[in-house]
Amino acid sequence: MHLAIKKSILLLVLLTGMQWCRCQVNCRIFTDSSHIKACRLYNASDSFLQGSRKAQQYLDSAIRICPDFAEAWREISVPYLKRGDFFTWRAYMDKAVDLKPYPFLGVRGWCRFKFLRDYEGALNDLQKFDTISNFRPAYSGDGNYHLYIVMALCERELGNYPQALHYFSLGIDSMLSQQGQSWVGFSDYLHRAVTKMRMKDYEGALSDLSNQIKKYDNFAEIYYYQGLIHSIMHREKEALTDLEKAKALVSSGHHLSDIYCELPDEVFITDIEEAISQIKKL
Amino acid sequence: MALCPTPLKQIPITAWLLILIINCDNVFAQAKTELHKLVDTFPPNTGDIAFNAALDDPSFTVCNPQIVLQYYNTASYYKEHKREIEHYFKSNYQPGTETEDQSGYLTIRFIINCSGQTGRFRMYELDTGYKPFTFHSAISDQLMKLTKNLQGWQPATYKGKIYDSYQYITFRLKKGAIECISP
Repeated sequence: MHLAIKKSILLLVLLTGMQWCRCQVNCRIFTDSSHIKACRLYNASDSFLQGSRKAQQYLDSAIRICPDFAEAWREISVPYLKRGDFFTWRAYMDKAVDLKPYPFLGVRGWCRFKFLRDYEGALNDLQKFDTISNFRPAYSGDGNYHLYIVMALCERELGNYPQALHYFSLGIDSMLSQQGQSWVGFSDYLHRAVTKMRMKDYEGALSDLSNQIKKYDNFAEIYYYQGLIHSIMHREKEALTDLEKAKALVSSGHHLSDIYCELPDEVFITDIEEAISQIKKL
Repeated sequence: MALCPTPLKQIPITAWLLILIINCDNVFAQAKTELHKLVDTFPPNTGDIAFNAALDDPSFTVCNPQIVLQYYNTASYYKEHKREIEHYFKSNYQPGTETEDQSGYLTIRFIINCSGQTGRFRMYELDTGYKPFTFHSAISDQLMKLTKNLQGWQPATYKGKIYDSYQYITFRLKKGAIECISP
């Protein structure tokens, strides 16, 4: 089971890398000198630390030589995004999207979701991207989510629960029937469970958490939300067992985490301790 | 994707010259856009905050100006204490009145030095369409003051060594209220 998950994650990362990530471009596909020069500068920028003067200068030069080279516009934008200068990020990124909506509209949408929690803007980008990708919108830039799951989370955060469930169904159920279990994301069931919990569909949420445990069970968020649901259902003893398990998993480093941003439905030790304290007060 | 000019034998020489002139014009026009910085204007690292005597506390020092990490280079205090930081802002911030049009993103970027002190605070304000915006000073001054007063920062560490590091906090504001805090 774990081996299958590892394989699927590796495959997702590889596919994501091929489509989204900063990677060397094959400059031989170009026939005009400006594209070839820009492409070589773009590739050479990879020799320097991201965001360093040299890297930015190389990318800037690529843009000057060939302003149509979308990859350079995208790449020069990245350090601004990671360092909180969202105005400059958008200015560069918008140019990349104008030149090459596929795939950069999907990248921009995902970034708006992840870094800015701009759910409305992200959803707008991703819905357009869904159309231009012929309803095969692929994966987020970090490889964590199918973009239908990102769209589901956007709808959820905007309070549009039926639409969120629609996208979850596309990201989970359709994927399951068309591609198989290994194509379902490692935390997708958890996010749908949290959505159902917010909709007060507790049985549905527990069912999805059960699916999550079968898929991959070694992170704290599963047991935290299961504990919350059990608590709501007045099953306090089970809730405390769940929450203690969640606490132990967080303490051993097994929880949702990302180097840049807080992830959707991520829990912190203080969240768990507060939930335990609330139950003990009852 | 539109391609850059490629010579085609079947195009007459005059038409070719015309295409070349138009394309050159486009290239220069785009290169001159406001966004397009001169090559030499890039700082040593994107997002660097240089000391500004008009803005910065001279007593705040950076231990090693040559290496100031980004918050995401190592495990950061912010990421590990996000809930406490959120609680601090949400419990101390007062949105005030007449805030109907006060929506967008307010980002404060600063340095945590090797002693865990903070300084060189800079603010970036955008509306919901990512355009430059100026929030009411009752909002922006308050968030800046709260950020400056936030205590307990710990310096970044990597392989047992302590480093200065950059951190930013973005407040997504809706009608003057804090909707969420990121990253």
